[in-house]
Parts: sequence; structure tokens; C-alpha cells
Amino acid sequence: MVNYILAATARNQATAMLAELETHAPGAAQRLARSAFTELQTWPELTVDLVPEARTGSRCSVAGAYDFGPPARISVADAASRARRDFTAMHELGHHLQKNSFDLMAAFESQSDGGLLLEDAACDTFAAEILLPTPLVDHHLDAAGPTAPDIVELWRASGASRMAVCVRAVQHLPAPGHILLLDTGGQVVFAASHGLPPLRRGSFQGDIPTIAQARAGQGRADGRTQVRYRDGILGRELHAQTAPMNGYLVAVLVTDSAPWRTFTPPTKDTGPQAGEYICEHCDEEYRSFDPACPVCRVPNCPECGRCSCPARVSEHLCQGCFTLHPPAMFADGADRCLDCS
Amino acid sequence: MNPAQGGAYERLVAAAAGLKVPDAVREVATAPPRDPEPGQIWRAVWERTIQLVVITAVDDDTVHAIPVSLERFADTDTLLLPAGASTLEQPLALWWGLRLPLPWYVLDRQVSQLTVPLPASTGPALPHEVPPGATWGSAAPRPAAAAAEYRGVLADSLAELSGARWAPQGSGALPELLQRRGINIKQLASHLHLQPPQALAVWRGQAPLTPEQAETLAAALGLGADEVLTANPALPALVIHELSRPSRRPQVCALATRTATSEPDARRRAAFGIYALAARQEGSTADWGARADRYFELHLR
Repeated sequence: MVNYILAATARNQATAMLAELETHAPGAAQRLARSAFTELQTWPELTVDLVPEARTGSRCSVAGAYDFGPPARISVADAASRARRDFTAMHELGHHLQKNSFDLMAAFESQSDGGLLLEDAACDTFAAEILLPTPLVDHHLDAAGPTAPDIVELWRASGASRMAVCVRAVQHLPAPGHILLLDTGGQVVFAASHGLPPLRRGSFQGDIPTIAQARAGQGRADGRTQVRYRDGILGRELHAQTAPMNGYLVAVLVTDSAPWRTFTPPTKDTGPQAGEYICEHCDEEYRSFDPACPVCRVPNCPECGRCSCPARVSEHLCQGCFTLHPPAMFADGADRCLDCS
Repeated sequence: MNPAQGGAYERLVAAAAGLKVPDAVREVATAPPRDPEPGQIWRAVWERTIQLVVITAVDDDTVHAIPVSLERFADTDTLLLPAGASTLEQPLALWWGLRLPLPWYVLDRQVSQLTVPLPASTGPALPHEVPPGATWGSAAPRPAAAAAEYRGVLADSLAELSGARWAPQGSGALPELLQRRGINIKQLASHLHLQPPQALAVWRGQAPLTPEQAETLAAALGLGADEVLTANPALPALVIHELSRPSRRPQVCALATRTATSEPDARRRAAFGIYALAARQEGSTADWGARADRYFELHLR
């Protein structure tokens, strides 16, 4: 879940970092927003390198790193998108500022982990603030909250990454909800959530109402839908609006106060809804929140305790007692079990 | 060339010209080092000790290793393998009685591979079954004094390698100690004349104090220097494991050369550097392998 206290502290820290940046290098924020690398390469105390992403050679790759040295060094993975590289470079600059200012470090002293989480969160907030300055965000995102077309316009105007724009937009949601970035296949590429359980990256949402409608048309749709969590469990009903984002689809989903409608009462809080199943073995109809079997994707039936996987031992129905028995209970070719024959 | 050395050098070149390194040996010896596996023959190196060993089992941070020599000396606990039993294509003596656990970080380079399975043996007793063509050694046909001396040298080498240590052994209580005494980051920097990032790393327990720094800080805190020094940070086991992998050794050695320090010092320096590295990564758990890659990219550029 979102740690709101940490997020609020990180925003305060990012504000202090921007002030430190302005003191250290007046006007740098604007220059960094235009081209992070060009600006950082003029800083004599910093070495900034672009390294090939593949060289990380790891399943869980490191997008950027900061080593305080001396000399202080920043390395940024050569990501496909310039916007992502710039965001990472700004994030690492955030570490440089915080690790070199006793004033900024003071915030770490009240944190139980020595400020490790706060430092990292503040770097993200700082980077988002540089690449998506508040005046620009306020210009594109209405005070009533962001609509999907607003988010696309902000992305076009800023040059920031789609993900950074989603993170910024979710801070402006007027009610609990999500900002989703989906690919053309309907899978979640990135999800920023506010006040609702977060959605898993990679989960398929392409067939839920509104998203399916948007995919079938030109990417623009609005209506009501429920997002799908693990094993088909549905969340509460949400007001949804989508817009195309140059090969992607951005979707805004809120419980109420949808900015694209004049009046949107809160949707009925139905809570998470369990998936519905019919047992393959005993025909029991049931709902279940239990984790699904990784093979057949069906949770265990509460009646017979089995998922949809075929039984390891093939069973036969005895025509005498009408009970399923393993093959050992039948003589060769017999249709009645040993007890009945 | 120095004429005084010419004769010896020419003899060495001539001797080298007469050697043929088997292709399989050349292949593994020139390939980037990988994690050890049972049945491999490695060159183990720590400071001035160098020894060939065969690996019989691999654990998370240690291998069980038997010293290997070209068959000249043996004792009754030595398994003598025929030339076809390894890619070295030479008869080998496996000093089974000297088997010891070795840390991964002494493994320097794989040089060969056994082509026969080693007999299973978990306890101190010698295995009953041996590979085809292998025999247990006998002390009788060899000059006893020379064999015993050679065995002693091997035993010393293995003990040296087995006892090799580099990881710090602090309790990790330094951050609590500083906070209990009300020392903030700025005061710590002032006491020890540290730059802000270094002071922050020490305050967080991501960098160790040197004995001199511990003494200075102890005087300021009214504590004993040992009390402060023993509170130094301990490294996470996963960081130690990552730096113990043979693939990291060339990077550690390059760092030692670049910083004009010993290999253990360079290893400690890299380990704390990786631990304190601010890295932006996907996933919720620290990927120490990727962080180590980044650290060495930054420092060996």
C-alpha cells in the first residue's frame, strides 16, 4: 500500500532539493528540463556516463547509479527512450544533492532506516518536479482532476516519459482510483494507484468494459468498469475514461468526481468480487478468493477440495454404489467395484 | 634483453615451445571465470599461496577441495588418476586426506575438468570405490622424506587457502551507538573531518571506521576505541557472496591495481562501495549482481 507519510515527507524534501539546486546552480532546473545530460556534463564536480543497458546483464536491471566518489559519478543505462534516461539522470542528481548537503540530510535523522527510503522517494519526486514543473502540470491538468486527453496533452507538452506523467497525474486524482498505461494488447504497462489496491504490471485488462470499447474503436471511450485483480477478482466499479497515447492507451479510473462528467456520484462500493467457478469434478458452483492453481488457473472447490487439474489417478464410477473409485477397486473389465461385485 | 638473463630466458622459451597445452585446457583457462562446479580443477590463489585443487562439492560460499599435484609424490590417502581422467591429459595425484573447505574467493581460474566421476565420500573415511584405472597411493616406492615434506607443503597451502578472510566482522551497531549518543551526521563529519557523503555512509552503517577514526570518535564519545571499532558495519551475506564469485576476481584485482592496495583491501572497498551505491532498479529487492556490475563500471572506467 502507499505510504502516505513517506510520500508527503518526500514531497517536502523534493521542495528543499529544488531550493538547494537553485542555490547551487541558478537556473539549472529549467536547463535540466530541456536536456538533462547537456546540463549535467557542465557540472565540474560530476562525471556522467551513459552505459549500455545490456551490460547490466541481469534480470532485474539497474537503470542508474550514483557513487559519491570522490569524484562523484553518475551512470545511466542507455534506455530506449530519452525521457526515461532523463528521469533516471535527474533521480541520480537527487542523490548527489542529498548526499552533499547537511541541511538536506537532516530529514534522514528522524527516519528509522536512516532515511534510505526517503532519499530514494525524494529523488523520484524531485525528478518528476524538474521534468514536469508544477506550472506546466497545472496548465494541463484541471483543478477538478486529470482527464485522459489532459494527460496525453501534458505528455506531449513536457517531453517527460509516459510513466512520469502517469505518476504526476495520479497525484491530482480527485478521488480514489488509478491511472493505467496499457499496450495495444490490453496489458498494463504501468499503473499508478491512489487509495485503491495497486494493479500488477503486466496484468490483462483489455476485455473489461470501457477499455475493450476503446481498443475496438479509436482509443477514446468513457463509461463504468471494474478492474481485474489476481485470479479474476474484480475491484469496485469505477468511472473510466481512455485516450490514445501514441501506440498506448491511457485510462483514468475513479470512484467518483470524474473530471470529465458534470456530476458523478460515488459508485456502489461492492468491494473486491471473487471469481465464479463451476467445479470440473463435482459440478459445484462456487466463488473463491483463494489463490488459483498455477496449472489450471482455478482455485480449489470448497466442496470436493479439488481444482480443475485432472486427477493423478484415473477414477471410474461404480454402477453399483455410484461412487468414484480408483482403478484398483475394479476387476479387469468390471463396471462394479470390488465392494459391489 | 639483459645478456646475463639471455641464457635462462632462451632456455625457458625453448622449454615452453616444447609444451602443448591441450585445447580443452586452453579453452577453460582463457574463458571468463564462472561459478565453481564439482569435478572441476581450479588454480586457487590467496596472497602468495598458489595451489591446484579439484572441487568435490559446492556450497553457497565454500567449496570442498582436494589438493592436486602431478603424480610424483603420494601417500596412502592419495588417489592416483590416470592421464585420461582429466582434460590435463596428465596422471594426477589427488591428496584426498588433505581435503578442506575453501571460500569461493580463493578460486582464481579453472584450468581443467575431470572426465571421470569422483567417488562419493562425505565423511573422513576414504571411499571404497574408485574410478576406472585409479589406485590409492602407497608411501613405500617413493623417497619417504621428500614425499612427507611435499605433503606438508600441500597441507600448509590448503590451510592457508582455507583460512583466507577478507570480510569485516563488525557487529553493525554503529548507527545505534551514534544515535544513542546524540551524534548527528554533521557532528560526525566534524569529529572525523569527513566529507558529507562519507559522513552519511558512516552514520547509516554503510561504511566502516578505520582504527584511527574509531580512536578519534571514541575519545569524543568517552568510549573505548575497541568498543567503537567492534560496532563497525557488517556486510549483507548476499554482498559478500556476490564479491566472492570467481567472475568478480579480475575486477577486484583491477581495482587493487588502480588504487594501489592489496586484494583484500580492494575487496572490502568494493563491497562497501556496492553496499552504499545509490542505484535505481526495477524490482523490490536489491539486485546485488547488477549493483556490482555498475560499481565496477564506474570505478574501472
